[in-house]
Amino acid sequence: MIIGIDLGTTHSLAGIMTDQGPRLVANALGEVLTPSVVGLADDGALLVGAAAHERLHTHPRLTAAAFKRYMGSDRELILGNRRFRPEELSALVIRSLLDDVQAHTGAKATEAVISVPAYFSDAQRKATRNAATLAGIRVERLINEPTAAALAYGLDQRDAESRFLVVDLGGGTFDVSVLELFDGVVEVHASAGDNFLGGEDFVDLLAELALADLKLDASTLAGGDVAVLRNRLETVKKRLSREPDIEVDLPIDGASHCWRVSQERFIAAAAPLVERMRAPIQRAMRDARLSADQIDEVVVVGGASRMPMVVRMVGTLFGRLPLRHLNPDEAIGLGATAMAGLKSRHAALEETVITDVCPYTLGVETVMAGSDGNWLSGTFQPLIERNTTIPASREQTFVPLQRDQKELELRIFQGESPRVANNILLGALKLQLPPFDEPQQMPVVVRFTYDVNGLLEVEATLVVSQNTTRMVIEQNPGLLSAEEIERRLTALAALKLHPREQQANLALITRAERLYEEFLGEDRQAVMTCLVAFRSELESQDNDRIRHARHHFAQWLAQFDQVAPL
Amino acid sequence: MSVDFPWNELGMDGPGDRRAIKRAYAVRLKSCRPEDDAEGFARLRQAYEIAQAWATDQDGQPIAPVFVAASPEGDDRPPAPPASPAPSEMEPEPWTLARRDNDDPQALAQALLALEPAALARELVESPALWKLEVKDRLSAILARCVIAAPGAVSSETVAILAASFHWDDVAECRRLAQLHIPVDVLQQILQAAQLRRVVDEGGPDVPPLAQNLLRWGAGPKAWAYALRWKGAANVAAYLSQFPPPVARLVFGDNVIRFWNLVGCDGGVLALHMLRLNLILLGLVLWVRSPGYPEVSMGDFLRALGAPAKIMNALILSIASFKLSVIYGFQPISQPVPLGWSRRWRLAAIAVLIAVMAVMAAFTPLIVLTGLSLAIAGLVCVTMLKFTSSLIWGVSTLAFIGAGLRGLQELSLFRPVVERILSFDGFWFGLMLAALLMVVAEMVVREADAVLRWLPPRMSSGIPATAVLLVIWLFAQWF
Ligand SMILES: Nc1ncnc2c1ncn2[C@@H]1O[C@H](COP(=O)(O)OP(=O)(O)O)[C@@H](O)[C@H]1O
Ligand SMILES: [Mg+2]
Repeated sequence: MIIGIDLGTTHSLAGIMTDQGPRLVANALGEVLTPSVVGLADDGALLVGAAAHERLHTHPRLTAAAFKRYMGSDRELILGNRRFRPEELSALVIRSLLDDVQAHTGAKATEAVISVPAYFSDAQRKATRNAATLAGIRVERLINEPTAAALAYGLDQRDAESRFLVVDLGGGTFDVSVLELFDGVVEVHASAGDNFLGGEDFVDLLAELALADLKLDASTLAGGDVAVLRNRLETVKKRLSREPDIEVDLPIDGASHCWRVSQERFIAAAAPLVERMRAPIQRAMRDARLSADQIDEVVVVGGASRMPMVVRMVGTLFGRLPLRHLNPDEAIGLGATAMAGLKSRHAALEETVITDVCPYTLGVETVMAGSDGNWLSGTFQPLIERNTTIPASREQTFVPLQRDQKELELRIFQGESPRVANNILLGALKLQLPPFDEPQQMPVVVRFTYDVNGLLEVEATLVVSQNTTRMVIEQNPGLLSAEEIERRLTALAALKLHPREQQANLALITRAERLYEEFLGEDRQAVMTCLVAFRSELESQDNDRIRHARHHFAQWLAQFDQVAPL
Repeated sequence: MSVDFPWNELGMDGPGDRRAIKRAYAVRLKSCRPEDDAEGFARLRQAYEIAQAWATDQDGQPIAPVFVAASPEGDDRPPAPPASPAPSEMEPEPWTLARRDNDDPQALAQALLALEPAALARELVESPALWKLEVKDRLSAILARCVIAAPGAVSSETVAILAASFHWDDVAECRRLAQLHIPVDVLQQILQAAQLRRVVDEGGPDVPPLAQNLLRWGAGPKAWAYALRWKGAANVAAYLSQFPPPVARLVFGDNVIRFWNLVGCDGGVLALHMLRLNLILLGLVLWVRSPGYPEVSMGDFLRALGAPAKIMNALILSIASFKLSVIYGFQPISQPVPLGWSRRWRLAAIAVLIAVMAVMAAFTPLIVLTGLSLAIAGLVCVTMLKFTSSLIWGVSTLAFIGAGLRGLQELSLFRPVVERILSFDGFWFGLMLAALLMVVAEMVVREADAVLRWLPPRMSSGIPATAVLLVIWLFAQWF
C-alpha cells in the first residue's frame, strides 16, 4: 500500500487513497493533524504528537520541535541525555503516522509519497528520504508541497491548459509556486519564498503588542512565562481569525494580567508581515513571465492562511477570490495522498509528468566593463537563472582579462544579487592558461549542468587545447552514510513509542500538568485533585471505566479553554 | 544539439500554434521524463522553448509581457528630477496614488519621487495602482532612469525604499533593466552610496563589516569606507574646500569623483591627501638626503611640516586616499588574475632591502633609523595595502636609493664616487622631475583604458616608473 505523507514543520499528516478519493487518517486522539513534536516522557518512553506538544512548554529540555528546519544539516538536537539527528526525529513522526495508518486500515504501509518544500535542496531531500528509511518505509517519490496542493484541488483533472498560483503560509515558512497543467504535464514555472516568514511570526507580533501594553520587558521575563505567553497567544491568534475582539488572561510573574486585543489592531500591526509576502509572489510571477490576469486559479494553503488578512492580500493582488474550499492545513497532505493514488494505479502514473525548476540562480564571478568604461570586479554572471526548468545545462564563454595571465580562477556562486559579495560561494575551479597574445585568443567555455536532484556539475573547457576541467558541487555536509543509517535504524527500533492506546490518556495528563503549572490558587488545586482522580481511574485497568473517565476529564478541562484560551 | 528545426524534436510536421506545440511536448515528455532521461529531456525542452518563442512571435501575443511592457528608450526618458514641492496656496489634500490609476507611468513616477520617504514607503505598499506587475515593471525602469540621471536630487532614504520595492538588487531585475539600456552598474553604485550614507548618518557600529563588503565591489565606496573607519566624514570634509576640482579630476578620474559627490563630498579632498602623502614621502627623501641631516631631529622635521597631530591625521587619511587611488587605478587587475607570484616577488624584494639596510646599519646607527623606518613603511604599504602603485613604489625606491647612497657615502671605499654624485646640482632637479613624471605617467595610465589593459600585473608597473627615474637621474648625471 502506498500512502501520502505531509511532513510539516509544525504538523504532519498521513492519508490513504480510498474509492471516494484521498482520505486523511486520524491519530489516536481522533485528529488528522499530528504536531511534529517529539519528546521523552518521564519514564523514558518516546512521545510523539499532542502529548509531546503539551510538554514542549513544561519540559523544554525533553522535547524537540521544528526540526524540519535542520533537515540536511549535521546539527543534532538533544533530548534528555540522547542526541538525535533531525532525520531521526522526523522518522519518529513518520513512525507514529504509520501506526495510525495501520490502526486504521489493519494493513502495514510499505511505501509513501512524501511532500517537501519546493525550495528544499538535494541534501534536504536526501535527508527526508533517509528519515523514511529510518522509519522503515520506502519513498516512492518526493513531491513538492505546492504541486501537492494543486493536485489536492484536482487541478490536474481539468481538460484545458490552466495556470495556477499556489501560496503556502505554514508555521515557519512561506512558499509560492506558479504551476501550469496541460495534457498530463504538471509544469512548475517558478518558485519563490521566504524561509523566515510563517505563522510563528504572527505570534511574536502579538507577544510584542501584549508586552508593550502591559509595560513589560521581554528580556526580563522568565523562560517559563514566555512559553506560557506564547502558548496563550497562539490561541488568541487563531481565534482572531474568527472573532473581532478577544480578552485573555496572561499569567506573568505570578500575577494575572488581563489583555484585550481587537482584530483590527492585529491586522494593522501585522501589515508589514503580510507585506513581506508580496515580494516573493511578485518575483514568482515575474520569473514565470505571467501577469495576474493570465493566472487561472489562485490556491491558498497552509495553516496560517486561515488568517483573513492573508487571503485578502492575495485576493487584491490577483483581483479574485483564491480557492480555499479544502482545509488549508490538510490540502498538502491530501495532494500527497492523491499522488500516492496515481502511483499505485500504474496506468495513471504513465499519464502525469512533473517538471520542476531550479530555485536559485547559479553563476560565476567576472569582471565586467561598466557603462563608463571602468572595470567592475566581483560581478555575478548567471549561467543557470533561477526558475530554469531542470535538468538543465547551460554554457557561456569567458576570456582572461590580462595579456600575460597564467591562471584563471572561476568562482562559482549561488544567489540573486548582482554582486558576488552578497551571494553564496559554492566552490572554485582553477585553470592553467598557456601563453597567448590577446585575451580574445584564449576563450574558456564554462558549462553548468544541474540535475533533478539539485546536483551541480561545472565544466570548464579551454578551447585552444580542448582541455576540460570538471567539478561536481554537492551541498550535503550532513548526510548519513548507508552504514550510519543501518546503525541508527537498529538504535531507533529499540526506542519504544508510547503505546498507541494510551496516547489519548497521556495527552490529557500532560495537558492537565501544563495547566497545573500555569494556574495559581484554587484552579491549581482543582486541576491537581482531578488529575489524581484520573490517575487512579487509569490504575483500574478497566477500559470502559477509563474511557468514561477520560471523557469527563476532557470535558472538565475544556472549561479552562473558556476562561483562559489554551 | 540540433535546434534548427525544433518541430522535428517535438514530433510535429512543422510550425504550429502554441496549443499544438504544448500537446506535442506533452506526448513526447512521457517518453523522456526529466528524472529518467536528462539529455533527452534537455533536448526536448530546448526545442519546446524555441518553438514556443517562435509561435509567440508569429501570433504577436507575448508570453513575456514584462519585456514588452516597458518600451525601449523613447518615451521612458527620465522626467526632470522633482524640485521641492512648490508651496501652494491651498492646503494640499492628503494624496494617494490610488486615485491616479489611469495616469501614465511617467506622471506616477514623478509623483512618487516628490513624496517624503515615509509617505513613499506607504504609497508603494498601499496604492493599488502599484500592485499591478506590469505597472511596477515600467515604473521600475522609469524610476531607475530618474535616479541615475540626477542622483543628487533623490535622497538616500528614497533610493533605499525604491531599491527594496523594485528589486534593484536582484540579478534578474538588473538584467531586465540592462536590456532597456539602463546602466545598472551606475545604479548599483548609487545604491551603495545611499547605503553608505545611511550608515554614516546613523553612525552604526556595523561600519567595518559593511566596509569589508564594499571592499569587494566597485571603485569608490570601499576606500571611502576604509577612510571612514579611521576618521569621520567631517574630518575629510574639513580639508576639502581648499583644493581646486580640476586637479582632483586629474588625479582621481571621474568615477571616484562621482562617488565622492554621491556621498556628499568633493573629490578634491582625495587629491589633497594624496599630495600630502607625496609631500611627506618627498620630505623623508629630502631629509635623508639633506647634507645636514644628522643635526635635524625628528621633532624638527615634523615641525617643519606642521603640527605633529595634523601630520598624523594627514598621514592616516593619505594612506586611505592612496589606497583609493591604487584600487581605482589597478582595480581591473584585482580579478581574476591570481595575486600569488607578484606578491611573493615583492615581499622578497622588501626582505632584500631590509637586509641591505641592516648591513648598512652595522656601519652607522643613523642609517638604521632611516633605512629601517623606510623599509618598514614600504613593507606596511605592500602587505597591509596588499598592493602598491607605481608612485608609492617609485617614491619609496627613491628613498631607498637615497638611504643607500648615504650608506655608501659612509663607506670610505665609495666615498669619492658618491660625493661626486651628490655634489651635482642636477641631482635634485632630476629627483623632482622624476617624481612629477611618475605622477603624470600614472595618471595617463589610469585614464587610458587601452594602456591599462596592456599593463602587466601590478608589481611590474613599479619597475618602468623606477626605470624612468633612474634614466632621468643618469641623464642628470651626464650634464
Ligand atoms: N485558525 C488559524 N488562524 C491563524 N493561524 C493558524 C490557524 N490555524 C493554524 N494556524 C497557524 O498555521 C501554522 C501551521 O500551519 P501548517 O500549514 O500546519 O504549517 P507547516 O506546514 O509548516 O507544518 C501555525 O503557525 C498555526 O499557528
Ligand atoms: Mg506545510
